[in-house]
Amino acid sequence: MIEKSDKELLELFHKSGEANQAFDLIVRKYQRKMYQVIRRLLVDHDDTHDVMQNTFIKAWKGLSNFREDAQLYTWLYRIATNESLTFLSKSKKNLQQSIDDYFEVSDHADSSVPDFNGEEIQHRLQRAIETLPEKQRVVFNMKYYDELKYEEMSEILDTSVGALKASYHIAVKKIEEYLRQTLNQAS
Amino acid sequence: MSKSNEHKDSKKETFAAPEGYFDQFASQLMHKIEENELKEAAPLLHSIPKKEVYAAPHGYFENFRVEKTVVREFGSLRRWLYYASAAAAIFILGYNLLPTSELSSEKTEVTLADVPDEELNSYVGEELPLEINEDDMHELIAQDHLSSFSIAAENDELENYILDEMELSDVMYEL
Repeated sequence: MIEKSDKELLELFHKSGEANQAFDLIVRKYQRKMYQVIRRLLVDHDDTHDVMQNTFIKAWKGLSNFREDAQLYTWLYRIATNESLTFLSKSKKNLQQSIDDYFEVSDHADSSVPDFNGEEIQHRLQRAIETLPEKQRVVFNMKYYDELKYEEMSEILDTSVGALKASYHIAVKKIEEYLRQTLNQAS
Repeated sequence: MSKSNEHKDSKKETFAAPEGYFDQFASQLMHKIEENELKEAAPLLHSIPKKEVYAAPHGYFENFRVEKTVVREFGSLRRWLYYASAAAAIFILGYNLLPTSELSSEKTEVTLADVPDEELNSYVGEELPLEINEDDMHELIAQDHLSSFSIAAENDELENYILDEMELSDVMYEL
């Protein structure tokens, strides 16, 4: 089935009696992307599911007022990010622990030299990202994983392009330093 | 229009770019520049294969439905059920333990003594179905509600217990 464009989906949403169907198609179109946006921040699947629900419920409530000159993707991204940060501010979860649980660390993992193509280096990368302050983590994920343009990031985060470039640069440097240190310890 | 302009207009581009090429060009160029910057600034990070590490459970997206009617401001139903169950368990445990561990028998007696007999009789009579007739017993046995009162003991053990622990007069009385 050919995926409808955002414009077509919004037109369908505004048609009488078609809102539910249109919204369902929007969810189908963006659920995987939003899942990753949230999951990278929260790590735990169940927490991600809760925030996914909140994100799409807010989208459902706000869609009738959505400005059609904005992109649906960046709008959903913004809601998902805000919901994730709100969740994190209330949660007392240890994210490092959640990351370790996900990768099921063995006792020997820290003493081995990680394989750059394997899971262990991905595990260390996730741990490195987790050490960043929340906003920097969001910026890093947006640029590194989702490859958003700075202009799109600026729209989502209400932050200037210059500040975002600086923030991403700092995040990259911190992650590089963390990786360097863990590799030195391992060798 | 001059002849030279006519000549210019008649010139056409021989090679046409693929459709959408120029729309993508700027962003692809920018991406390439950023990749090179990352390689220079963070060679270790750049050498790590970029991939999504967190996988959703199998079939999650096929079954994902937005609960539009449910307000989830205070967390999930799952979490609320968990806390409600924990609270209920604590309450039941506390309710069962409190009279023996926290309250002295004297205090209980004083409290009960303060209640007028009429009220006690009325409460017991109305609220607690203490009288169990033969039909009720059959019902309870049929529904296996008395299983918790069964005694896991052999006949010999019961006989020994009765002979050792009970006075003969009591045994005679019971018979």
